[in-house]
Amino acid sequence: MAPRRILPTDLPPGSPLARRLAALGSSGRVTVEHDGAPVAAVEGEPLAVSLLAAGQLTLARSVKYHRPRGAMCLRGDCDGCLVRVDGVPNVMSCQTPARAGMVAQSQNAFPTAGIDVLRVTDWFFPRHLDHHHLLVKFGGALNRTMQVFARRMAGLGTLPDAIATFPRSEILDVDALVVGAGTSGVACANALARGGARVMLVDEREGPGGMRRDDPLDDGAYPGCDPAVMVRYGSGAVATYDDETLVIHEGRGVTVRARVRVFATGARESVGVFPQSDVPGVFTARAFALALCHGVLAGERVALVGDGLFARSIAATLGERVTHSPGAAVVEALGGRAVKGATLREGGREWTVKCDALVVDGELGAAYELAGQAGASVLWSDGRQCFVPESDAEGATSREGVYVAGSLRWGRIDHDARARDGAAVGARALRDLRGEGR
Amino acid sequence: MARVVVIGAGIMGLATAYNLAKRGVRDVLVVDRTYLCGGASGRNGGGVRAQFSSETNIRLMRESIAICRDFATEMKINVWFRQGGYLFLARSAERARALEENVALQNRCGLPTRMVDAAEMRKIVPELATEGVRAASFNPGDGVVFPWPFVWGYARAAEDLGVTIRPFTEVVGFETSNGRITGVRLRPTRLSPLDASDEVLPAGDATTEACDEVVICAGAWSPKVAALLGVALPNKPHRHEICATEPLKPWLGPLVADLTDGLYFSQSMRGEIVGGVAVDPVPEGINQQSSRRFLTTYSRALVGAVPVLAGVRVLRQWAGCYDLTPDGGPIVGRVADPTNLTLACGFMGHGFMMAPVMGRLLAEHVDTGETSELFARWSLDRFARGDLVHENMIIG
Amino acid sequence: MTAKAMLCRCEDVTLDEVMEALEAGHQDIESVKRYTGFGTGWCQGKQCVVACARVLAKATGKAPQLPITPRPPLHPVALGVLASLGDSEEG
Repeated sequence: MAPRRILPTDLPPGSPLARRLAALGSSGRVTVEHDGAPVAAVEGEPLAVSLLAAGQLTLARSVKYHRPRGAMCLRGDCDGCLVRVDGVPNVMSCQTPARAGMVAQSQNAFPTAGIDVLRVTDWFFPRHLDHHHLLVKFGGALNRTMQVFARRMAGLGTLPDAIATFPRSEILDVDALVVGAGTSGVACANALARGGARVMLVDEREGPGGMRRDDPLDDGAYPGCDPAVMVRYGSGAVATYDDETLVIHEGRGVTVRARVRVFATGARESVGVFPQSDVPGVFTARAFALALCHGVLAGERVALVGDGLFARSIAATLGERVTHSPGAAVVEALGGRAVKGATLREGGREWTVKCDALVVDGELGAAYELAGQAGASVLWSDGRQCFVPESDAEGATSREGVYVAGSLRWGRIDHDARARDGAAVGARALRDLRGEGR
Repeated sequence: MARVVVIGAGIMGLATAYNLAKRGVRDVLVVDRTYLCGGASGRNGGGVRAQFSSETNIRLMRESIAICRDFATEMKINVWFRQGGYLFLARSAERARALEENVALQNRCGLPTRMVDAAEMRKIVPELATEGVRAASFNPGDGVVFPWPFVWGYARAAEDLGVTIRPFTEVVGFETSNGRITGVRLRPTRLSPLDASDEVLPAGDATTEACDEVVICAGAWSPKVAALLGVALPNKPHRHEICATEPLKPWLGPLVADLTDGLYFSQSMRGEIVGGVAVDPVPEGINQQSSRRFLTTYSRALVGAVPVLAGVRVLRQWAGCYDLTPDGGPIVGRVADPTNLTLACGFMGHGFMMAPVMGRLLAEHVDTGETSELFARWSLDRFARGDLVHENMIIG
Repeated sequence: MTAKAMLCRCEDVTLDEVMEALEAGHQDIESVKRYTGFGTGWCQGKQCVVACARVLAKATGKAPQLPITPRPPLHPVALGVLASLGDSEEG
């Protein structure tokens, strides 16, 4: 059994997801190529999802041990889905919309990611490879030979096929930049715009909603943006400095100079650290849910662990197709090339489940990086067990003109609370713009 | 009570401490304001070359390169020294002439450096755009190391010989008597959440460590430390930014450097293209913050030199500080007052590659008190005497 | 089968290696990053910094107060895009 596209019989009639998929139904069917084989895809869906739907669980090989890698987070936060696309190395296929004729190839593998003989490195160093002390006790000649070999093995992709050209960049001056068009980001941008500020809102996704976009139970009725907000979807903020933020919009660089910056970048899911947590077929609950929202069932026999929003939505959508253990923790995943099962633990009891997808709704980590780059102080939170930008009641950070909003600063809170927080932070940032003090 | 307190646990301080211990000096203490590799030793591009324009530097770097070759088996840690050579590009007739003169001098010193024409440049780096490049010099023996294990290698070997290393410890003052340092005031630190600032936060009370000798190997922080003793150094910190691309399979042999715009780049053992470029002006003082302007300047220069890299992506950027002197030469050796203070700073961004040999010379100097001709030339008072040194092969 | 527990998938750094780094005296998160290489790969720590901090908290009894410095960019950016940026004074 393997991942596949959802059949009408997979879903209860009238479920929110069924409606959503019916709406998707008219999207174009295209063919892409993966390691020489044709793969049917829906135009515009993430390429990684197309490959998953075709049963391609293993897309890449890890850098050192050549362990199999597959899509894990589906939101550009991991190395799982890196392939060469149309002659460009190291493309995150989860962030790349499928287009007709696209050619994807596996990298760092011989002959392909599916069967990579270089996996022997993994078996040769069963605990780990101590590269600092590898062959230092032997003569210089042997050590030098090892270094020559190690260099040959290093790196992922090879140089691009062609010299790429890029459109001219633009520079934008605005009053406020809001990064993240989830519930709090939109509320914040709206508050700023309604107060008369020139606001730009960017998000790497193709529309608003943030995490709601990936929730199969969500009705899709995301609050809209005020028409005065300059919205750029498909635009990732990739770096922020003292006085400007770099946004990439459709391959073009946009330098945004804003008097105030609000980061509503949310939180990141992880599966946690346990033996074999990196094996293809282990997904974050959000990734599995995202694939579901594209009509792809990332496994036939699903072991679901955790009790977060995505775990609950998956369980509610798929019913008896999943074995849900809300209170369990993963002891280890089983399987060498792809997940075959997992050992779970709860309250002193340990048991093993068979599965071809292990879906974990684990602890969240605040996506603090951009706020940190902007100069906000970021500290460990014992309560949330992750690093969080320091902020006051209204989202002001230690850095003047830099604000944080939504689940970035609060962790798991509901939609209404996120919207309220976004609006409050927006109101505060507006006072800042008007020179009414911090 | 320490016989010698070395301030700065970068490569220079640790190489000195290691060599002191190897000479039999007991009770050596090395302190650093943050963690090992927190300063320039952990932030540089790992270049190691003998292509310089002064005989002194050429000879010293030949010895450093020899130490690098044997470091892994001697010090029991891999530093991934790869001798892919350094390819220096000249875009003007004047630069080309300077390279030719340097090559002649390097040949006299026994280096196999040679001038290469465009055809040979493309043989060495097939992807290189050679248009506008008038000439280049190439020494196949130059190379790159992975800087961090170099630091740990010295640290571990020094500790094995009895040296104490205390990270997260800053010098807040000195005790002196009769023109001699009698103690160093040390205070535990922790990192400040505002990384780019020069600040560390106090994490305890200061205590005094009595000592016989003090060596300042604090890189760009050296003027600040020396100022606590009333010693005025002419060095200036100069931010230097650097970045690394996504890892690619090996394709680039040498480190390529262009003295015109200060561009340099090489491929690390992990496959990343690591490099930097000169950016002017830089913020005053010590500043380790990254800038967008650097990325743009560097990318333009790099894509100009190797057009196919346009589609290759930057993975991360960071910054460190060069420790610059007015004449481009380092400041090394004892000072007149206090009499038991030795300086080893002002290495112009070359400190890392020079440290293996400088560690040996400094340990000798501190231990015996004897001043070599070299250290006399590099002494602090040369600025007062107006007897400056000359080196034109400085990148960035 | 090799049951490695990957703390950092991008650089193939195992939980085991982090424990060894601690034993070798690399106790703070910046040092552990440098010694093991965790957080220096493709995702630049998005997946593993928090995981490592949780491990350090458990092993040393104290969580690191600060994360490793978040270095720009957040996602890899093509040199060609970066080269196209800039204002009039930069040409």
